[in-house]
Amino acid sequence: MLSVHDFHAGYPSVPVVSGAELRVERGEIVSLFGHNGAGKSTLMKGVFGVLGDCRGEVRFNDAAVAGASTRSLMRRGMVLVPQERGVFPSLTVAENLRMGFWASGESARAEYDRRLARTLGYLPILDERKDDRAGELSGGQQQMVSIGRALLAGPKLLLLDEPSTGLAPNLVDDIMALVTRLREEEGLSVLLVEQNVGQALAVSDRVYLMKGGRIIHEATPDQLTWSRSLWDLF
Amino acid sequence: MIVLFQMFVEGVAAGSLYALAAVGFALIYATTRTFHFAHGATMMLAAYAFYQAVTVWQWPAVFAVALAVAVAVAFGVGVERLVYQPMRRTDASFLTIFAASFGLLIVATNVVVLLFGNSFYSVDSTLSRGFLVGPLYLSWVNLLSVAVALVSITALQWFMRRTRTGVILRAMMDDAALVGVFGLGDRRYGMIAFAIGSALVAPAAILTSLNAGLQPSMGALLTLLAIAGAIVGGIGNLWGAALGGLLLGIAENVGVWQLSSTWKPAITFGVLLIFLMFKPDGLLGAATRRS
Ligand SMILES: Nc1ncnc2c1ncn2[C@@H]1O[C@H](COP(=O)(O)OP(=O)(O)OP(=O)(O)O)[C@@H](O)[C@H]1O
Ligand SMILES: [Mg+2]
Repeated sequence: MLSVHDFHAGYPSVPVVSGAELRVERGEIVSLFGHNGAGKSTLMKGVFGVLGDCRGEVRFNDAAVAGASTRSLMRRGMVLVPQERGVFPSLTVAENLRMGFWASGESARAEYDRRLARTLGYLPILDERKDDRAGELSGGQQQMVSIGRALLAGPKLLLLDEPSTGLAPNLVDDIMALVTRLREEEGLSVLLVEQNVGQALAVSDRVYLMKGGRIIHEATPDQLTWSRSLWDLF
Repeated sequence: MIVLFQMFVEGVAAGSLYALAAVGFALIYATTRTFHFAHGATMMLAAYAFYQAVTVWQWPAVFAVALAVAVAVAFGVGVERLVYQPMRRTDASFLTIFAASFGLLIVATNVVVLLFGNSFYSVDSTLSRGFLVGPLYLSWVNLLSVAVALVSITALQWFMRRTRTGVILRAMMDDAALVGVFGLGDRRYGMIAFAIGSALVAPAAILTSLNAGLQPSMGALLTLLAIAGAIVGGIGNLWGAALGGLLLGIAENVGVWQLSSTWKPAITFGVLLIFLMFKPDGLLGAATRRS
């Protein structure tokens, strides 16, 4: 689905990620752990074409997409749910969702209705609040809007950047359950960044550890759970 | 008392045009974060184009109006495309772009002075006449000002709520960077914002020409009114800007009740100052600004 090889990314004159190696197979949930400032978000944004100059190899669905624009990546089915949560506060929930649909380059009404129905099936709270301004929603609900908007884009691969930051513990479980359901029922592949390591481990197939802009280790959740020495790498 | 009411009517008419100019300024500012000081230059150029077409070339009014709108849109979009966008690409600061915009206003004003001279022109039209309703005198220009403002603002409301482009423009007002994360708000949208914002000063250009006549200084004055209206309304809020513009028009007309009309700008900036000191978020600013 996604493979990243010798990838470098950063901000103008601030190199952050260097030589990253990473892959996500079809239908896999892969977590990326690392301390604050390790470069997890930068890696995701770089792969997603949001940052200017990145170097390296990125393959998505068997196509070389390094340097491709966000627009074309979204049309291919890669969608980022950014860390900053980022709903459009003065737009209604429904309008926020529509932004995701438009971003996928689709315009057929029937396809919109189909995706909307599925999305609201996963996130029923959005149906209740669809005519409210997104800025009036609680943090947890805004996160649902953000994920819902990504689903409206019809993703094949979701890049989820800390979807549970600042949420109550039971909501974190809800989000992890949602991620698993999306994989089971929609066949989504997910690259997940999380600070709630325990909960993320429980749903992940594989895990990468990141430090100082480098991917320093790849492991299975079991290895991470049982091996103290892996944690010492941090 | 009748005199005061008459002045109120004049104020609503003038304020309607300021409202349109302020909405245009606010739309451009909120979507592209450009402090478009040359907004009044758009209006001045459209006004002189209208004057040239109607009185010199003797065009029929419809074509002259179309020319004025076309000049406004062409200037606004041209400035965005040829000046602001290249500057933004080099990460020019807010202040640098503001300075460029200020310079544009001065250059445009000087070009008009070169072409038309500094003197005062007026456009003769039956529209500047009117009729009495009881003791009140209503001119056609004034009625037209209010009607055009109502129709334009309603149409803009509809466009911003009901069309895809409108919703994306509103999303840009919230968070342009996030729109970029969806690969949506490319430079076309900046140009659309400038096109709409600039078209909205055409009514002021045309109706002011009919009502008060033309002078090269009209551009700078309208810029200040549009900015003041947008700030009074709550910068970044379109409907607040409309309200702000209307309020300024009423204030400056009613305010000169016992004064000479040369006090108008002083009243405008008095109101602006009061808002900056006591309600810097403007009329509707705080209600919608979040996070
Ligand atoms: N816009 C920016 N411009 C310059 N440097 C930045 C920018 N954003 C982040 N950085 C720097 O890049 C480095 C990595 O940041 P990044 O956001 O990728 O970390 P992260 O692993 O996602 O951390 P967190 O867990 O806090 O989200 C940090 O040192 C940060 O200061
Ligand atoms: Mg991050």
